[in-house]
Amino acid sequence: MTAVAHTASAHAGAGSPLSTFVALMKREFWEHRGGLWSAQLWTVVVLLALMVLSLLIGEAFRLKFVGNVDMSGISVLMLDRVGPAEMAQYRQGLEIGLWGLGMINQIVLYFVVLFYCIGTLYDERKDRSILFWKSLPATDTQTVLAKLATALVVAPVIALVAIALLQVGFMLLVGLYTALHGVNPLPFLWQPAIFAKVWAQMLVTIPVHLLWALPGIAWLLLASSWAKRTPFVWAILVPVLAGVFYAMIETAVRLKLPSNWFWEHVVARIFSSPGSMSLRPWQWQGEGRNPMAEAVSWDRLATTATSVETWVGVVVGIGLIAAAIWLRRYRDDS
Amino acid sequence: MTAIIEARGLSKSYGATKALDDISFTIPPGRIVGLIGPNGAGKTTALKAILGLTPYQGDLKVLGLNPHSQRQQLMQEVSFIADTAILPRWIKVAELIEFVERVHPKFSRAKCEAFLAKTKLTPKMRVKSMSKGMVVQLHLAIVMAIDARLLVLDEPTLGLDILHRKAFYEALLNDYFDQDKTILVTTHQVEEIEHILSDVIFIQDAKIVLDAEMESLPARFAEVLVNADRRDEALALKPLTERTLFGKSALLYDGVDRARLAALGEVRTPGLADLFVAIMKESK
Repeated sequence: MTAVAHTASAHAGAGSPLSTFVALMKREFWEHRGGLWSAQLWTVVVLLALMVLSLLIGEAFRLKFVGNVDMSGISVLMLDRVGPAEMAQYRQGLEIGLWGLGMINQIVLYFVVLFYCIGTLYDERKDRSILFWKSLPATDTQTVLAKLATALVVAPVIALVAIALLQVGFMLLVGLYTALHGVNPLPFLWQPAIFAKVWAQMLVTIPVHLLWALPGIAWLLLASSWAKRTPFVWAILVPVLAGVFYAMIETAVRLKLPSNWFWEHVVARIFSSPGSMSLRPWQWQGEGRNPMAEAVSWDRLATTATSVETWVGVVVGIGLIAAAIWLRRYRDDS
Repeated sequence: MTAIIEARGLSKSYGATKALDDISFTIPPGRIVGLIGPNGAGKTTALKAILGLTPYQGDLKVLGLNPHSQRQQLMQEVSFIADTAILPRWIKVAELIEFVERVHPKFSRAKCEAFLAKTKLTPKMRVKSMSKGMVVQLHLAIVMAIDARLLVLDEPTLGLDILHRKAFYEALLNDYFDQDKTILVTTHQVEEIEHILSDVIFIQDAKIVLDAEMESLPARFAEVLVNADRRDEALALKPLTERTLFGKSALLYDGVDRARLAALGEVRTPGLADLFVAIMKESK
């Protein structure tokens, strides 16, 4: 870059790959602020409001039918009797409870990311704004990668922040409630180690999930980039028809991998890719004592991150993303 | 100085239809070139090829670059407004400025804001809530703040009222254009841009039918108003077209000596629109 160009530009580093990528990520956030952030925040607000409401209703009910009971004696008694085994069990229960609290946000995340991926490369062609984006020196590779990063990193991180807010809010509410009833909530509820563990695990699920979900998300982006109309139909119908076709071949020839394998490892994998790792249903069927905690246990995270299946998927995903980039670059239908 | 655009044997087909049929032209720097033709003549295809948005056959260099394979490099030096209202509907003015500022090394926020200050646009406004005229103003403010060597405009004022159309070209001419810049523009409103053009290219049925400097037109084309009694004499000189005007005949000639025509009646240089109609008829 010449010195003249430098002085003409007011923004330091403008046009550098980093600056461009930051701008592209911001653009995705601006455009989808409602789904990425507002929807998560509103979920938290509504859930906390429901909790307050149910506590109030419960309280009113109790006062009417039971009368006020002083629980302080009982709880002190109980706390004395709690041994290390019970405490460990309680901790695990709390852990699962904290994960479970995030479920609604996870479901919101799932649908937001699903619709985002299927829509994003299609919509810009449909409203022809792609011609504006293409009038600027940002490459198609940078653009598609920014969209991929939005689906796989930005959206889950924002959801995680919302879930953390919800968990803290929940604990504060429960603490306040028990305190109002003369029970010191701190020994039970003040468990920083559990928060640290749950948040660390939630954070680690993001890169592990990224690896695992790359082919599925890449497929959805490719369908979005490919479809002339109805990208949703393409995104869903192609893998489903492929599964049916696979099953038909199976009836004729014995295949090394049965069609069950195809449904689980291709079709189901695509449609469990948006969102977060803890939403994959078959992972809850672990033999551990607590399916949900098991689904996101360190062991499970490590297994997923190192499995051959994950890494084959990464290779496939890179291929699909390259195809989506190629289509955005060379397709001429705007 | 080297040419801004150099096309040699440029062709492009969509299936059996030829959108560009072996066309060649050169556009030097510091020009304002009007690319004019009827709908479907190949104007937009030519612009798309120049902007690297579509593959083509033949040899095409824009600022010395291959627009297809060196697109990103090219976009640092080229701006374009392709059609009206292609700005994303959800974006706010402030977001748009921030985006372009981060992405484009030759964008000046100060210039852009100075231009916007003359309009009713505010940073928090969304494109969605703007009138068409405002969207075009915003797009123009962005484009004028980019120090590009080539600006391509494809029907930039489509759907605008006359006040906005005038203001658009005035701003371009007064605040943007200089001898280092080149503007390539397509439009249907020929009359409105003919006074700002330096060159004109007529394109019809995928071929170029006229490629000339505006200054050279009077020497070549002339229109003469002839009374009915001298009409046969005038027709003998083989005009391109004839139309009647207040009971007289207006005849348009290509390459006939003006002195000879002056003997028949009042001679003037035809307007671009009349010339366009004449040449389109002639080459059918």
